[in-house]
Amino acid sequence: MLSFLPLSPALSPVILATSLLFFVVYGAFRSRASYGSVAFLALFALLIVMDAAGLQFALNFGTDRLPSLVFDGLSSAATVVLCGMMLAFFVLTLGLAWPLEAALLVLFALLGMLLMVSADSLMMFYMGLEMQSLALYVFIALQGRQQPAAIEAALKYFILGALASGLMLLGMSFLYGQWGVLGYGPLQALLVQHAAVSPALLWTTLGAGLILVGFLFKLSLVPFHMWTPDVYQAAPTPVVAFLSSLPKVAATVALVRLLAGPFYPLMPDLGDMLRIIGALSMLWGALAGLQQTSLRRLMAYSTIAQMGFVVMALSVATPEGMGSALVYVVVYAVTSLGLFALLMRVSDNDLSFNDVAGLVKASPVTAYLLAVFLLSLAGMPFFAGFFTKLSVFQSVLAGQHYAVVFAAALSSVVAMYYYLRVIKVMIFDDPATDQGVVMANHGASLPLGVAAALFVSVFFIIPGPEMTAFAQKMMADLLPQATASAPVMTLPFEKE
Amino acid sequence: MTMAEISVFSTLFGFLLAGLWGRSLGVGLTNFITITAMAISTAASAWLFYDVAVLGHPQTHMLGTWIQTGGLDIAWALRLDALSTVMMLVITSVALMVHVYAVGYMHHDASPQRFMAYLNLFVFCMMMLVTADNLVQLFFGWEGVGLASYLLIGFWHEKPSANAAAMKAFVVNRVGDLGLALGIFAVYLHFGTVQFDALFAALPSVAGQVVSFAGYTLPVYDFVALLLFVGAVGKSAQLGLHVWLPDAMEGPTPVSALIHAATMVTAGVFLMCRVSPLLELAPLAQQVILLVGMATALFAATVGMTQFDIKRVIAYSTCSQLGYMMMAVGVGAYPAAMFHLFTHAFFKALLFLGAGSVIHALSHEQDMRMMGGLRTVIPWTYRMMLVGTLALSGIFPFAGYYSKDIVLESLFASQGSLAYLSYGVGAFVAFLTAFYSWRVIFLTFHGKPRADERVMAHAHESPAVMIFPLLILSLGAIGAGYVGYEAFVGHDREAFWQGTLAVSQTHDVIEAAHHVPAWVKWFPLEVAALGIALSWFFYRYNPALRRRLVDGLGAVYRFVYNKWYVDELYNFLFVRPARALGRFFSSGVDAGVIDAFGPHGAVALSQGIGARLSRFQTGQLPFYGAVLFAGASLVMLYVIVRGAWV
Repeated sequence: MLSFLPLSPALSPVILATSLLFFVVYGAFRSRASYGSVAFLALFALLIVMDAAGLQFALNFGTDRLPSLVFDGLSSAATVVLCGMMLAFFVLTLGLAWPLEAALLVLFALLGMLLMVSADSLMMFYMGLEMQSLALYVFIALQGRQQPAAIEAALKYFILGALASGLMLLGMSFLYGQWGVLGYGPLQALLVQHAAVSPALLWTTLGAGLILVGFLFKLSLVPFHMWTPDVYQAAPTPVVAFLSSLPKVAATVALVRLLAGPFYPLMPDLGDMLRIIGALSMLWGALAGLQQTSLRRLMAYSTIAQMGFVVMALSVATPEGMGSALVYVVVYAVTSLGLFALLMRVSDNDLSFNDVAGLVKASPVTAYLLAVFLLSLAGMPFFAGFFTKLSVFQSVLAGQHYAVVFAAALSSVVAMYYYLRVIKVMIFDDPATDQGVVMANHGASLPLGVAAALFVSVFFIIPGPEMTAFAQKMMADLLPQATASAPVMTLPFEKE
Repeated sequence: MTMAEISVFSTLFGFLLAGLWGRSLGVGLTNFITITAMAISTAASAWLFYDVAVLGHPQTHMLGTWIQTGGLDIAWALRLDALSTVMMLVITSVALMVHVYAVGYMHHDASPQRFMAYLNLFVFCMMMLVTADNLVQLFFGWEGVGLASYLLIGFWHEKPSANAAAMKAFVVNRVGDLGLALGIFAVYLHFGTVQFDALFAALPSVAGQVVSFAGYTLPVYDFVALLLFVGAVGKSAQLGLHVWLPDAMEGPTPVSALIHAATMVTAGVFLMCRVSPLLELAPLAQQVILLVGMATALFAATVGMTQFDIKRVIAYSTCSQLGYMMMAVGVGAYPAAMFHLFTHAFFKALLFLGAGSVIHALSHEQDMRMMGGLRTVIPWTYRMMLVGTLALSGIFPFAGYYSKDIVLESLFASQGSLAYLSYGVGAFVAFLTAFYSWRVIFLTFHGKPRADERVMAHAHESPAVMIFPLLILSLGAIGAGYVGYEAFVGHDREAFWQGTLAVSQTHDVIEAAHHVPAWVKWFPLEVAALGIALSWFFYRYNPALRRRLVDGLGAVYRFVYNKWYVDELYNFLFVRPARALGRFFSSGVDAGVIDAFGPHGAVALSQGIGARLSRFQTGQLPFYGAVLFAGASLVMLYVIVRGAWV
């Protein structure tokens, strides 16, 4: 039942949507409205949304359901994280001369993401996804005023995204055609109930597989990753900062909802597939990154490898694995945001290795903070990346999936090379030109970088242990109770 | 804290202080610390010598357990008896003089603190060596002095030749050390202990037992003694493993005086004397020792005749004198060997420091062909060198006369087929020694200056801090023989040595040496005088004749001048094959196989795969779409195949 308490968690998207409408009107009728002014106003809206979601958490309102939407611990936590990152993003970009529409578009994307993480039916999820994606396509294309390459990137992203969405819709139609329902709850109940009825389940699994393709595309996993390097390289750095953080978190949470819910009975099958794709992504991201000379392209491959870890952790379908995946992706998003924020201190454009050679001379703090993020991405103890990788490894090893862990270890070793190479170039190499690296003064990026670096480096004290324990406990509640520790579901196919 | 511990460990503290904080302490304070440590050690050693050797109170100080496993029980202990305290007295008194001298000699060096620290380290290790109560602790000191020697030879590490010499010394000594290590293993294997008293007590238990090795059958005594002797050959630069000693002259001259003349190189002789009860039971090994000593003495003396580097001449003479000591050991005249070791330490250190003073005066010129006429320029150095040379050539009443004579007399008095041969060779070497040591004096101090004018203009007498040690050492070179004679080898020898040196039950060589015919006693002195006279004749009176003689001897001269081509032989036999093997393993096996397939292979593979994967990123949208569809198809295929299979 929807409660109409003033602080209902369901208010979060409602508040956001309302403020968005206000901003649209404000932008349309006030000629002096700019990106900065809207972003500034949006900060307050976001604070209220975070408040609403945070209180759900703190006061433990339990689970609220609207038709097609569910508001529980997971969606509240995701809302807080997403809005927090959005806040950081606005603070970071407040001073940019972006068009007004950019602010509206990212807010629409955020609304889509909030719907994604709270979606309780395939249709609602799809709507959220499309709202987010379409907003992002345009958001990237908007940058074409300064960087024509961004238009090409946006087009590529759009067309490939549309293909992936189409496949996803096809999968959904398979499921709907088979079972006649779209809600997660009813779908799960039907699948559990009819687990032994075989011919129907082939279409079900096919449908689930195609839906996963859409997710894998969003998360940049091999072989659906092709857009990532091109978009990362062509779009301006602040846009990449956004692309590489918030949508990954939203997509992961939405994927967790599906895998822990309706697709849980199918996990024995889908799990292996996810592990193969995870292993491919980790290896591809590590190996293909070796040849890169553009920093943003390199980060694209890094993303591909990192997302491989997330999917590997999800594939085991245990509270530990899924909880680790959630923490992993949040830590990754914070790291990525911080890293790109610091790169903005050098330039909004793409940077080659030469451009940051000897950065430590121009700005030691930038170079060393970047090194912190890179080391964390590489999984160096005692940075956050080490602990999240560790818990991922532990949960996957508990499921005795040794091959994929081996691939992950191999990937870590190889990827270590390019992370360390960037550090070496920044700190130990001489500047490529005589005047050294020229810094672009960017007000908010340093405090944000410092905050993110703090998060990454004291992670094992706060909030790491609490976050991990909380995420795993949350997943234990969310996963079907009888099989909370390991799926004992019989395989959904029969030989016929 | 007993006197024994003070004497051994004060230099360790000196080394730690000077080595760790020398840079911040500064040169003056470091010199003060290391010399004070050295002086304390010297005073304590002198007191111990008086207490232990003169008053006759041998003692062993247990410091603690080192290795205790199974039947093996090795303790840290300081063994103080006549033998070790004699060594301590020699080591500390020469070392103290060298320390003082080094203050002046290293004055202009970039890092005298490091030098002084190494010197202290050396003295500590040498003291551990001579006070060892068991073979393993002796080995500790043995390796320690090897390390100090290596560090000091290569002290001027910016000189490639110094580095090469340091490495050569280290590597050649490894061969000897391997022999010593095997000897210690063999001792433990056959006697079940490495502690000296227990070892000597266990000696009769293996009487008659033999060891079969590579087709030969050897008595256990000879087998063990020969292995230990291999160690002594390395450390004491006997023929075969002598090649490192002349090259070691690359080190600063105080090092040559202390380590490569007076103390470390005599460690082999000391070791042989330490295990003398074992040698007495090993006649075959004794013969080998005698022969090796003889060959070394002769070889080094001949080479010393032809060299022009002043330090090398003295180095070869050291080698030759060590041969004397080994010959004495070989006939069982251990007191004579120790006596010669004792006197040699003083006059050889004196000669080296004197040579250092010459080199110092001539702006680091070492070639005697560039010297000459320095008698009036550096008169004190000249006088001191003269004393050392007289002692070395065995002229009465200088120290060398007494010790060399007793060695030669022992050789003559020894029983065995080699007695007269060894005496003859020994006397001939005495002749050669007198010749070449006076050759040094004539070439360096007499005649017209051959150095260029600028160098001569700068030539100056060394400061007092360098001359003073020379004076002290010259007292030893003059008096050590006369003072020590009765105690070391004379009537008081049994009371003095207190049984630390074995005496043959059947034939006391030293006793017999006192009863040789009179001409045997006079002959060495006569040939020495003849050597000096000939030297004067060839180098002062008629140099033209000398040149004709050298030309006439052509091939022989070149053979000797090139040190019998031993280095070339070793290069051919060992160094080049070893290098070839090393190259094969480094470039062939390591780089070619392990690296190529290991690290570099993995890197190349990763980069190659990465390059290929990057090529997928064509930037072409249709291709991307195709990949996306292919991926989706694979997913569907997977689901279907999986469904059909399960």
